[in-house]
Amino acid sequence: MSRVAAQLEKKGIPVVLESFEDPGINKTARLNFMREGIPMVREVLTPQDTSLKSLPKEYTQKFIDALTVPLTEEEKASGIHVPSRNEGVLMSGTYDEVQRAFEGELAAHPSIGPVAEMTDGLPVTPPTEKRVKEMLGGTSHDPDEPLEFTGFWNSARYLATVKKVAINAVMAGCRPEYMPVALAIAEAGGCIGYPGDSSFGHMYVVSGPIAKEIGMNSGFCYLAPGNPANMTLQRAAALTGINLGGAIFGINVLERTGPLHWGTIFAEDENTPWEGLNEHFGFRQDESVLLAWEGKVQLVPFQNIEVKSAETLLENQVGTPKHAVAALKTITNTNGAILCLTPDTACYWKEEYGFKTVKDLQEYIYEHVTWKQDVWARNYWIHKLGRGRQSGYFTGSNNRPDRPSDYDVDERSGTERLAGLPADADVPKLVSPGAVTVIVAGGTGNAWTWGGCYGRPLAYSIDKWR
Amino acid sequence: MYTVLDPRSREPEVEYRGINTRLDTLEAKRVIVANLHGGNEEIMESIASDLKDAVTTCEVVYYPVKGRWDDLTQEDWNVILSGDAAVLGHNY
Repeated sequence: MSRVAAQLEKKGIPVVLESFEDPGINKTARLNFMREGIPMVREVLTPQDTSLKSLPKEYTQKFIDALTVPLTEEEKASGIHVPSRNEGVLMSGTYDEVQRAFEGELAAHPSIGPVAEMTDGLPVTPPTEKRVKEMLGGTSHDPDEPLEFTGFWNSARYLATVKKVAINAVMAGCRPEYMPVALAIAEAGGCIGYPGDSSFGHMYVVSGPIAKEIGMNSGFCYLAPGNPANMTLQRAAALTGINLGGAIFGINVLERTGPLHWGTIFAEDENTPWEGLNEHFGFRQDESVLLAWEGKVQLVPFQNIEVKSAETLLENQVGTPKHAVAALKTITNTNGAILCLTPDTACYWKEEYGFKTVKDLQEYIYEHVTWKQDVWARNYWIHKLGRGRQSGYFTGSNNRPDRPSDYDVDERSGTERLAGLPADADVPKLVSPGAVTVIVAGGTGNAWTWGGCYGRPLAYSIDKWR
Repeated sequence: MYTVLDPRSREPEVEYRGINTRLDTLEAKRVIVANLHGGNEEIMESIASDLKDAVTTCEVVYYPVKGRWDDLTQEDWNVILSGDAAVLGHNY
């Protein structure tokens, strides 16, 4: 919204932006004004109270003043804004001094206390030239090869290099052999939001040989701490978002609770009874691929009986596709869902229920996860924010030319069709079968997890970064 | 002692200019009050009606976009740019 305000000033009309009085929102707005080449737009800051139906009368004069009081010299100024280049050596010091330097000024939103500037709040491995050089040994790419980050909702342009990714990977504790994965995470943009108040702000899954090569966990406790590759790559994703992608907690990451995890990464289990995610997303079986969700991933580990009463021992232990449908019917987001089965459960479901391919299971979920037409017709996101259109994707993937066609809305979910159905008709909740991502991971035995997410993941080659 | 490298990216240089000259008055002017969030109608509607009450000769047009600020259509731009000035919100 702040960019629209600046764009309107550039188009020649005086503008005033009404905005909550909030340090995070206000700082983000100022950053966005400058990105449009307008250092400041006049704002009227209003009480941060969502229950207000109108503003106190004194605010009317503030709006009038913002549009009529002559400009100050500062508001008239023009010139070139030269941001810090952030190149070379940051500082020299003891271990503790290095940690304090990375913490920076600890300035943040007053409601959340100090927030570190260049770390996730934990101590980091000091990124010395020697360690960074060793990390760069994990890729054949030139350290000066440029990488660009576009920030939250493509709101900015950040310039970085392969070496910058290596610096952050060192800080996160990665080993050089993890570097191709760290670079794929960087290509995907890092953890920059939109995390939502979700269980996983971002999530990544590695499919293909590199998972085993670097010792990633795809089995028992794949969401839990302990595995060096999973844990340090998760942290690299977070640091990449902070230092390269522009994520500032409390400023432009303003979620009311925030996610439980930030940048969770694990590997697909190679014992899947179906094609691997690499093949499913158009790569070869021997290629290593990173799946990256752009935000707001809910993944709920649970017992089957918590979503649908079990009627047999088998249903109690394994669950059924009907249990998955019962779970996914509770999500209200329409453009993404996740079903993550252990290898044993995947094998059982394949044999018992006839899901010969992942597409079969996706189609089953799509057909059975429904809601009533009148609920669809009153959905705020579709009919208010979406101008009556379903959306098959989210944020950065909007502009990607290589966006897979099954990101698009299936004709069975199209507005034209659904609008003509009776109010009590069961209609698909999800935009397409492809909106369901099926992952196989986990330890021996039966279990599955499920969740909603904003859009499908995008697939990035890891091998290109070797 | 450690000598550590800077982990941060950088933003490109930006050529900037000042904001537009303000209006002498809102009397007899057209002000667009644009609700860019596709919701929160009450607040933005009240801003529009309060402005109208305060400057009775001002043509205040309340315009709620049908989508939201990151999905403005040419029609949205045309309406907002049809004013002598604009009030934008609700930026929460």
